[in-house]
Amino acid sequence: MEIPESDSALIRRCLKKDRKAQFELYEKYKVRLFGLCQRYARSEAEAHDFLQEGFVKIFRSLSQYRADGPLIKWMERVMINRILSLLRKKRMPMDDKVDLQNLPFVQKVNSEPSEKAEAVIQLIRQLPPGYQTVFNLYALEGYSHKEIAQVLGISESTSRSQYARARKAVRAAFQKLKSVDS
Amino acid sequence: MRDEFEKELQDILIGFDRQPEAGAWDEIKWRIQGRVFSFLSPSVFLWGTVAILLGGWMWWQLGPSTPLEQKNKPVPIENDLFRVHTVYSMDKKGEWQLSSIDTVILDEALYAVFKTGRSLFKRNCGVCHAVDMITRASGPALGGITQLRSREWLYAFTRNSQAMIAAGDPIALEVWNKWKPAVMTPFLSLTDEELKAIYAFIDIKTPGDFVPE
Repeated sequence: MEIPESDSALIRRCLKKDRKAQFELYEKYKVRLFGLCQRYARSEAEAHDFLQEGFVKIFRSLSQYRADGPLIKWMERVMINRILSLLRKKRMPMDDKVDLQNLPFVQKVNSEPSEKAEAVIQLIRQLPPGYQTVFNLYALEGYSHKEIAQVLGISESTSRSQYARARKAVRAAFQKLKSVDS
Repeated sequence: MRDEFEKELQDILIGFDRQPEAGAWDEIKWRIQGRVFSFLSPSVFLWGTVAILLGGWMWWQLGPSTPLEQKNKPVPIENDLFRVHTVYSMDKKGEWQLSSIDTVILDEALYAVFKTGRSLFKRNCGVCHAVDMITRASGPALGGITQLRSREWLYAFTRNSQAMIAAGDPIALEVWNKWKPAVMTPFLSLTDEELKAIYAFIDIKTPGDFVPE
């Protein structure tokens, strides 16, 4: 039986440009990071784009990983930074006039955990792009409004108010989803 | 303020279990393993190639002189549009192994053709012919094949090899005698453009020193 390799040994091999090790690292974390990409993207294609860009960045800057935390957290950080710089290029508008009252209804799902996760992702995707990003960063990545303001180039108060509105909308849609589900 | 709602979403999202599509790793791999650099400026490319050549030449001069050492010289193919640099390295048993084939494409248009050819090859040819162009699989290795056969012959054979054999074409019969009873399926729907892309892909992927059988 194969013993799962510790990340540090895997990293060492990756840094030596061991191609099998690079593939192993990808295989080990691809699902988790793909889930992250799905949350920030607005389509399958974009999610795959983010995944590719993020992993390339991860492998190219792997030597900068200082092992001051779990590898996956570092990888997620690198990937998010890459996604944010890609989104910056797309110029996310934060339109106050957007109607967040009624997000499009997400269809009924059964209670499989993976189906639930997919439904939540779809729900988050219904938010307009700027709101989607703020929501992801605050609710799911644990960024502070100050940090969000820095990375998105908006004011802290904008981040706060956008988040409050996004959260309200997501929560309402989520309640609807739960009630349909049960 | 984050509270139970955010926590609930986080818990649900852990259940995500979908895999990215199969080709995703290939795209990442191409980029990190430095196989194709079509977007770099020509001067960066030129100096990079010079550095590689110089390194390879020095290694060749200073290392033990086995016949395989000579194989590290890059060989220009096809109108200076790309260079193929084949690298061998010695494994633990002291045997030379092909370690990487670094292809450098200098032309944007050719890179597009390369990508088209690659996906057509993988979909149509990859079942029987090795994509590294040097390994014998269910079908022969295709590396360097365009140096050996004419384009007209190759296109006709690819589209319908069995018809050519039946019609008595001498080269087709020679190939058939070596490989029967393995039958190459016909690909009648491949257009000239598609065949051109596939053979360009084959040319680019062929290591510089490979001699087809």
